[in-house]
Amino acid sequence: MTASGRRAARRQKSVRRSAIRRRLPMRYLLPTLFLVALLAMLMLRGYVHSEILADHRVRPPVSSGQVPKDVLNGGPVIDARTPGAPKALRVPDKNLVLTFDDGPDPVWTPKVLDKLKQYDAHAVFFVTGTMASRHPELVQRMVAEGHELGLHTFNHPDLALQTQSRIDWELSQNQLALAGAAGIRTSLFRPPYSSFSAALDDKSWPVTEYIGSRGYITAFNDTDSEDWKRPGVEAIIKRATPKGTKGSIVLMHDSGGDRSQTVAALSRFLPDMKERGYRFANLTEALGAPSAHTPVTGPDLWKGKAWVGAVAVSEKTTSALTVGLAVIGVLVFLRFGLMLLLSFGHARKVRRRRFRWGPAVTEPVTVLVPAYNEKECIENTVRSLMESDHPIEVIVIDDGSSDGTADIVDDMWLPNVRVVRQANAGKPEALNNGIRNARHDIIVMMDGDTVFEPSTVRELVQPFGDPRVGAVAGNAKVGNRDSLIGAWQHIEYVMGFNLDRRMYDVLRCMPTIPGAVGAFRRQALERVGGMSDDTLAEDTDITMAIHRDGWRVVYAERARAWTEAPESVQQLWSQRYRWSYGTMQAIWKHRRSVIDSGPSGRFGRVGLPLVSLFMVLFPLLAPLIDVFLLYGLVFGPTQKTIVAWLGVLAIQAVCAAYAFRLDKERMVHLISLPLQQLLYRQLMYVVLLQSWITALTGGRLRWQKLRRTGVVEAPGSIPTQRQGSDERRPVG
Amino acid sequence: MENRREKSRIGHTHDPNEVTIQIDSVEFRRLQAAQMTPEAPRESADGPVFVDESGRRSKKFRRIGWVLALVCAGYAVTLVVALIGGNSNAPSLLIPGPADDKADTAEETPGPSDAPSAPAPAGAEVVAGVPSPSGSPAAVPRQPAGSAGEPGGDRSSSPAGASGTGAATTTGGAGGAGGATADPKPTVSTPPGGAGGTGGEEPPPDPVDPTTPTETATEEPTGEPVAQGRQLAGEGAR
Repeated sequence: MTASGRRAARRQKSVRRSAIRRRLPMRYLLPTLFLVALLAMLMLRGYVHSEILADHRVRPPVSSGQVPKDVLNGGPVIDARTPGAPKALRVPDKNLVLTFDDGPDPVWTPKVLDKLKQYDAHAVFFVTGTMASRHPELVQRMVAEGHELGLHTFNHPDLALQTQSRIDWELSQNQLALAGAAGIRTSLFRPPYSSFSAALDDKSWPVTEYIGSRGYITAFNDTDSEDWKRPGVEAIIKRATPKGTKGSIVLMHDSGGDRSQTVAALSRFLPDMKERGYRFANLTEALGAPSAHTPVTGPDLWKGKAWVGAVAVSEKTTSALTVGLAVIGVLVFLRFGLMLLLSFGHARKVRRRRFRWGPAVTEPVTVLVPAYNEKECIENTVRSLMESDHPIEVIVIDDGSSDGTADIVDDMWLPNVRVVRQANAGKPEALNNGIRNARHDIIVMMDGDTVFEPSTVRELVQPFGDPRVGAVAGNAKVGNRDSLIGAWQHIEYVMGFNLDRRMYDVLRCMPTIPGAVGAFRRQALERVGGMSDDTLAEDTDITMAIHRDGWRVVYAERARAWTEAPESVQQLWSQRYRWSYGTMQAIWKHRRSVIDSGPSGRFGRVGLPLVSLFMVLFPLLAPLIDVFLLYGLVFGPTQKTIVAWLGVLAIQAVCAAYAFRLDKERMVHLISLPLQQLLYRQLMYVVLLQSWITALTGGRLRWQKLRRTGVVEAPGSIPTQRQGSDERRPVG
Repeated sequence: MENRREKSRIGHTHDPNEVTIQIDSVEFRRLQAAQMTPEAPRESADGPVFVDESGRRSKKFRRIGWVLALVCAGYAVTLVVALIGGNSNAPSLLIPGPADDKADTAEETPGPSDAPSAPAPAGAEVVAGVPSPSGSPAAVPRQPAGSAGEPGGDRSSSPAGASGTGAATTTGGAGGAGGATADPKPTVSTPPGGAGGTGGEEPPPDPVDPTTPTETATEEPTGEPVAQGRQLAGEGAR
């Protein structure tokens, strides 16, 4: 090899390696980051909605022996910036300083601002950091209209109960919100739950002193309108009005509930007091001081803006998600209801004593058994067919097995059993090969690892008595249901066949005939061109094609086939990966049926949306439900969250129990249902997500084999060790 | 052809951990499709659905993916950066009026602004103090603050008298100054603290005083906080 050739080879190798290295993390990294960002948004939302870190405790008052008399008896504006020498300032006569606490509120603050504007009045708004972060535009408007802003902490705790670092945090977070909203910092402060300076006590005074040491002027009030009690406009005005021409700081609220009385009171209070010679100034105006606002610049400004922006993003995103999930939730429950209703109807119809599809079908049928390396299972499978009480011809199509599967069947020397060998070409081709070799007009397809009951074939083909029926889905059952993972799949299969498939039967839009047990009219197969390997779910593909050709596809509940479900997470993952990816491929392949006319259009407008929404789209959002659940458990109303979860579980349990009853299964396996919701569901949506990524990026899933242990048998059949492929699709 | 079959066969035995490997090409698939299908499929896909042999789509989505990943990570980082290292100090603010008042309460007037701009305040105070409206009245009410000052009755009555134009409240103010019992309607509801000025009459019963406001305190804050807490909680639930 030349030097350049070697280099090229090396380069190629490194490219391949880096491709793998880059390929793997992305499909896991991105969803993980999505979830991290979502969780951050949720936490942020909880933080600015006072669900996280909020402290609603209120401290009982204590004695006030340590509060300086000057402060207790002085004015409401406490300037404690000089240690040991606090001053209590008073608003001059004929000055009214309106103060509004707890805002800004999206409903009431604009109305208050309108009133103030109308009467050319200035006021002070003591805003909380949470509300300022959520409604920055109102904070901007306050500043623009000449009002003054004061801190009222971030999320309104009783500061006397908080540590010093928490107080610092409350102040800095509140300033951050102001900087982000209006680009300013303020020097004014009012503690939550405060009233008059005379009400200061030995617990709240140290806080006031500390806050003074941080440079703040603390503003209490002279007249408390008590508007938060909603005492009526008259009472609010009376309480807010100072005596004579005395100056006063008036306490009102523009947030925290219905403030219509406050707004109404303002529209009388403002003109009346103006007439009495009062001016409405903000605090520093009244005190003759320069503005309490200081512009913020540089990194601090950007930090503030980033904060407010992040809050806005989280508010919008989480609101949209909440609405979206609510809609999905409603749809999912509607579907549950519809499933119960329709499966009840279906069961009633087909279980009537005199119910018949049409004239009994007694003609012989062909059974196709595609097999690839099925040496453990194939004998069992073929023997179970020999027990059939319906005349059959069996064709085993060996898809280039390397383990002598074909020879095993040959060595059985059974009449009516033919072996067709082909070079390995995949299951669709094997089935097409089988169809070409079939002698009869009704073709039953099964998997090389599935076991039929003696009556299965007969039950399966009876619906062909109705000439409109083009294909029939049987009832696949999980044999190995005693392990946890087996039990979960058992629940899934029973629900999938007894609820989903009955519903689809009634709605005439069955999306899938399981590869493990299904029957087709040869004519229908030929009209749609046989099996195709366009998708990895050729059974879904063909079923959709047959629907679109105008045939009916029905469900035969008594045609039971026993199959072995994957017993390891790895195998289950592989199987479901192929199913969900294949289903997406099939939906995409038949997407144009949506605009077709006739039966094809009907399927496209009923069946496709049903399958796309409930099997491909909504489950993708399932992780969000779990994230919300987790959030609710940790921060939210824990009890309500648990109750809601149990409620959903109960509904699912009812559906599952009904499905079990329809199939006369023992309820004992339902014990693992709660756990299924906690572990199995997550696996399923990770698989679906991976299918989505593969579909979007155009990769291709490799054909995957399952490793089997071989323990499944139809009741009454000969037990043998088995092994096979995963060509069953029980769950619509 | 042979080669490809080999490849796909290898695929079967391959490690199932790697799930996204391209195995066979489009042509191979087409060859197979050509063998069968008496009637053409109603809707033949151009190849295996979704599969993009060129890998261009994968590259494009990978790029989009990186952008999204960066956006998500950026969001989380922004949040953390915005949250850490805040500044809880207030910007300095000079309040001029107190100067006169301070003579009563504390000797050191300009002290308040512990900021480095300490020298400026004095001048600023004077300048700011110039506005006569704030300056002069400030001096008047501040006197009461000095509890040692004259009986508040005098003082509070004088502003009341001044605002004699006001009808109802004027009497109220006067009454309050007089002895509180005179006028039931005006400021009775207002807790004593509210009539801070009237507090001026307190000087004699100085020790008694603290208790009175404390009682008010019990009533006021507990009422409000509970309600507010509830409101906040309600808001949260929303």
